[in-house]
Amino acid sequence: MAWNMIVRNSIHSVTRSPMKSFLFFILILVLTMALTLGTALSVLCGMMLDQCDRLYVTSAVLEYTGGRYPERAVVDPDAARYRAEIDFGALGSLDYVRDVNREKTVVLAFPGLNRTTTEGLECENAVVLSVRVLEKKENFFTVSVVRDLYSAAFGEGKVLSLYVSDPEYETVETGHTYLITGYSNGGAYGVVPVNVMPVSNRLSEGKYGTLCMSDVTGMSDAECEASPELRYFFDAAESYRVINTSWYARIAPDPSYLEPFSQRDYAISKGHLYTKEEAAEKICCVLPEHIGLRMGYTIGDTAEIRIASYSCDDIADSYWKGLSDAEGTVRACVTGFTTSTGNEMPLIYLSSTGKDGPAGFVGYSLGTLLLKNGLTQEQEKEIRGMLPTGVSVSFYDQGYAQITEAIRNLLENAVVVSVAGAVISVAMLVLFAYLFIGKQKDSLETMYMMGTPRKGVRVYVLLGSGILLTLASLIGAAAALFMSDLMNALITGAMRNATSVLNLYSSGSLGVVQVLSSTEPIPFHVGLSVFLFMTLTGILFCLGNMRIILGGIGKQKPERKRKKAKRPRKANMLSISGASRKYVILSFLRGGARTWLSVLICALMALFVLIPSYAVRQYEKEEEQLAKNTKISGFFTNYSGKTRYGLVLPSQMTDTLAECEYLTNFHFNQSGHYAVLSTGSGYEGGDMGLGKGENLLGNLERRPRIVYTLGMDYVSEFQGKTDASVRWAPGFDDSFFELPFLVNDHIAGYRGGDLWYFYGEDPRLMGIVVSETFLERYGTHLGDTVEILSSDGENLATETYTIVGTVSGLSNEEYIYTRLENALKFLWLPSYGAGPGEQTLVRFRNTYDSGYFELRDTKEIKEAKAWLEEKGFSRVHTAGFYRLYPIFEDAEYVDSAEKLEKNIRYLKNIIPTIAGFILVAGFASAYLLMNRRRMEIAILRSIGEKGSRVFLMFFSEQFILAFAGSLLSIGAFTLFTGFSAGYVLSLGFFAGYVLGCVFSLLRMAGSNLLDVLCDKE
Amino acid sequence: MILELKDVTFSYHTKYQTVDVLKGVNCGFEQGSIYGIVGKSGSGKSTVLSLMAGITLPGSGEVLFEGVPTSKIRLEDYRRDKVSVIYQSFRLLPLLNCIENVMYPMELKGMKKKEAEEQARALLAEVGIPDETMERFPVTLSGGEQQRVAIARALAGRTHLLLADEPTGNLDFENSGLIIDLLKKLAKEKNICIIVVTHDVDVMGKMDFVYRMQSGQLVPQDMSAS
Repeated sequence: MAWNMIVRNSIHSVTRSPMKSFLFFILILVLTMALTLGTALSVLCGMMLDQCDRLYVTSAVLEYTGGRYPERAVVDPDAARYRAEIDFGALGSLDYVRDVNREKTVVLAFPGLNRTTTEGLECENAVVLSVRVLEKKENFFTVSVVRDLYSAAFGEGKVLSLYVSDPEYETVETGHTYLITGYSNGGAYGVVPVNVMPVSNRLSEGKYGTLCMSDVTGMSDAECEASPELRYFFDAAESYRVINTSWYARIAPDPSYLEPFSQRDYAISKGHLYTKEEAAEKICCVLPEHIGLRMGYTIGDTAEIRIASYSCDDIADSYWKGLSDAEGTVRACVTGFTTSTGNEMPLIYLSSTGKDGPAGFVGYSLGTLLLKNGLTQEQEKEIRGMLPTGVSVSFYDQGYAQITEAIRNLLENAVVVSVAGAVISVAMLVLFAYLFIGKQKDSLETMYMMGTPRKGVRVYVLLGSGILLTLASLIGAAAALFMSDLMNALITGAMRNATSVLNLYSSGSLGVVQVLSSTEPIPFHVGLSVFLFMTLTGILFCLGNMRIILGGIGKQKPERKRKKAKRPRKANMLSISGASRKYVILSFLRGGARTWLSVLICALMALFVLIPSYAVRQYEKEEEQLAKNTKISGFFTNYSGKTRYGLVLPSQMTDTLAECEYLTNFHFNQSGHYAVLSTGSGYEGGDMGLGKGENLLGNLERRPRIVYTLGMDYVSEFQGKTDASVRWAPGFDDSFFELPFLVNDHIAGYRGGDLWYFYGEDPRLMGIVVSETFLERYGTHLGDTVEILSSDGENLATETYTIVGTVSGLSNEEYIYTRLENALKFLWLPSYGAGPGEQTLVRFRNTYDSGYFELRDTKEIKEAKAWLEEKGFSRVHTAGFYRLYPIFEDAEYVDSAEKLEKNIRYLKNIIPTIAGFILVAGFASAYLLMNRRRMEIAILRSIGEKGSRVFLMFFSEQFILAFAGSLLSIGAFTLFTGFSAGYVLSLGFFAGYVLGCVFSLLRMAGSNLLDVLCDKE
Repeated sequence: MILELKDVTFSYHTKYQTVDVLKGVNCGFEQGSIYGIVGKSGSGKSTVLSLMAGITLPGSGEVLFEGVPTSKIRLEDYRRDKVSVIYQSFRLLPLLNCIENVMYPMELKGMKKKEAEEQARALLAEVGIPDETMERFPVTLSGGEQQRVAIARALAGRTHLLLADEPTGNLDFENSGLIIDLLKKLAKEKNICIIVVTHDVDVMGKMDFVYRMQSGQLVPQDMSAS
């Protein structure tokens, strides 16, 4: 067997038809590259999903929802009770819960350091008082202190004004004695309205802000103390005492442990957060500024800190083993100080010797659950159901759900592209086999008939096609392997798109913590697989073609049983005399399968585009209907997707919201169930009120910030600021700050039986003291009058105030000092309804219970979210005062709309591909079909038909067939579905078919007639 | 006899009918002579040639080559070693030049390339192909030249039986004559049995013996009358 000769001739079959070989080479190379890239994308997406599963952490934070969020909270004793009630064991046994971490609370104490001090209060002050009501005017009561159960700061007989916004005020009676308890806001001293908050929600049924008040008229102190119903007040007093000496810590060996889930902004104002290396050498701490100030610490000092209590026994051992003395005191090196804004919860950061993660107070966090990624809504519900009332759970997945969904979408598309690519590749390989091997039919037959063994012919075919296929596939696959960056860019892009802000507002999900990047190279086995697939499949088809060609040669035909002879078909009668049109008709009528096949193919191919186009239309209709039938509303929250208490809504935000054309029906609720306790000082003898330095100041608004005070000494802004001074307008002096705390001109203050009256118009009543900056900003001067929007609760009007003094050297230039009643009037602002005439007055406090809104048009939800983002309502990481997030209750709509959009997107992406494919298919089909009729065409030309007429005859025949097929399909489809679009793309096959015919006919017109007739082509 | 047909029958089966082309053909062929098989179109001439060429086997009867039935031997080997065929459409391998086409059957039998090339050149020269034409590709040659190359290729197989299916069908009168003369010369000089299928009367006249295909039979013709 002359293998050398066969191999040589096989190589010749490739090299001696260079153009044909080159075209095939390019075709196979491109197909291989495309298939490799599609497959690689699928594989890389899969790898990315695995990476996400490894790197993302889904967790649930369990929190106690009583009281306010930690910025302004002290620890609520009930929090411990809830911690004990949670069945962590049961939670840990759920199969999707990987780990359970109970928060370990660590309470510290600094020697002699109380939360409330004689010089100033850093947080809310607690009150537990027995008071007698002297006078009642609507919400305002004048009361006299009978007994201070907690702090002794309120002396017996001290006259206070009490403001109760709760409707409970209606039951309050003059002359009765009441036990009251709650917190008052931190701040400066003086005659200030303070909000008395309940220390616990137990008596208030979980409602924030309800005053704890109990009528004890006629009961002696002993009877009060013995009463089980009143026991709470005494317990509260005890709790306050504990809380007053308690400081809460976050302990971690490594600073990276200190911010597990959010960007709580405790800024380091001096020094630095201890490093891991420092913590390894000694116990370090970072303290709030004011503690440092009060304890006299500076950077580098050693702070003495005692462990007051902790919720887990092993805290001391694991974290401070061997480092505390016998009394449990730790000496920690101060490395830095943190800022604490307003009444924000001061937190002490402490290093540890333990290797474990963090411990210690994190807001009201009761524990953390580590969950498996991909948590479902049912699983979320299950966890919520296992928690006691008053404990909330927030789920964080770091964006896992959104990002993996984006990757899965990309993966789906990649799989479709890969499969389609594989199908197209197979089709092209069939074509390659037909054109490369099929065209060598005569040669193969000659070789075989000359005696070349079948296996020799097989080797000839194998080598010839194998060289092309192997080289082209190898280069195509190899080139694709170098395009990892492109694939990774696609995947990373998909992930980044998923984290866009448009997704941030749905159903309480808050932001994305980490976005990964895809950097993996395309795995080698992908390229190898595609290379082998293309090469082997192509060779298989070529060998199959060879088998078909040589199949009938040399085989003995067995004697068949004679069948009953059928009537022979009537031979085609062909009249050529002036019969071009007749030829076309006859060809059409007698074409048989050839004719109907063409019509059928054209009809079917049109459907390939019509069906998905129709599906797109249906999905779009469904989407429209969904938007029309869905009304989306939302609410404002300051944390974590729940309607938490304590929204802060400055006026500029309401103004901004009013401009939003996408949102409507804003509604802010404020139950306002709290009491305003006022204190007096500066009275004769100086003993009125809480005493020097112990009053609190409630700041009700920041811009401008209304400050009410009885005396400059009680204003924290003036404490220690020796450069703060007031310029008075003529006729005014420091007595402005000694103004008794009155609710109106004619109410008497009661002290120890004496009444205290004001008569007539006191010029100080409508006076305000402002900062020098205020004068500059508003272009006013000392002694000028200013108009300030005020309301009595029903009508909004401006009132005229006189600038009686200006202060320089203030820490906050926005402060306005005035008396309580004026300030209360400033608190009323109009809310914004749907349009003019629908405004209602809403009391503007520093907090609302809740705020709601509605989306005008559901279809514009994305625009609405983008607008909110642009206007700054998206401070996801802000722990500041004005944290306000809009949450759209659109989970169901978004789910459904996203599914529909995904389908629409997918189909819209695929339709052009299909249209392109059928265009090519049409071209190829027509070309091949027409090519088979070249003899027919040559014969017609040889008998005298003009070339142009032959062209027209065949073109018109094929045009009619293709058009008929496409029309049939489009017509039938339109009739059954009523869908009347997508025609253009569905005519892709028809267009390709026509082009193929034209190309083929023109090519045949250029060929040598004789060669065709003599079958030389 | 180098080739003998004994009671050979062959039928074509189509969708509509069965056509009995050969109905018990009996004839023999000797080396050193040139035979013609004539007949009307569709009479079965090409069929009998394909049976002789080992392309297919008879429905019944036997085709004996040197006394051995073709049904008993490997047809591949038969076609390679025992018989050569030339066709009306020449059937040259388009991607090989003239020399390579002629070399093909020699290399197929295991001859070394250099030796095959030398012999190919000699054969081409023998059939009248000039040197400058030898390395050209078939598509650049005239019909007559292509047929000569085909003859040279057929001779390269060194077989004693050469079948020609309408070898002059695509040639002009002059070339037809030259080709037939060449074949006659080769038959005598190389002691080859050449069987020519033709419907050309002029060609028929140059044959040593003529068979007529008639009613499925090969009927010897009396050449003395022509």
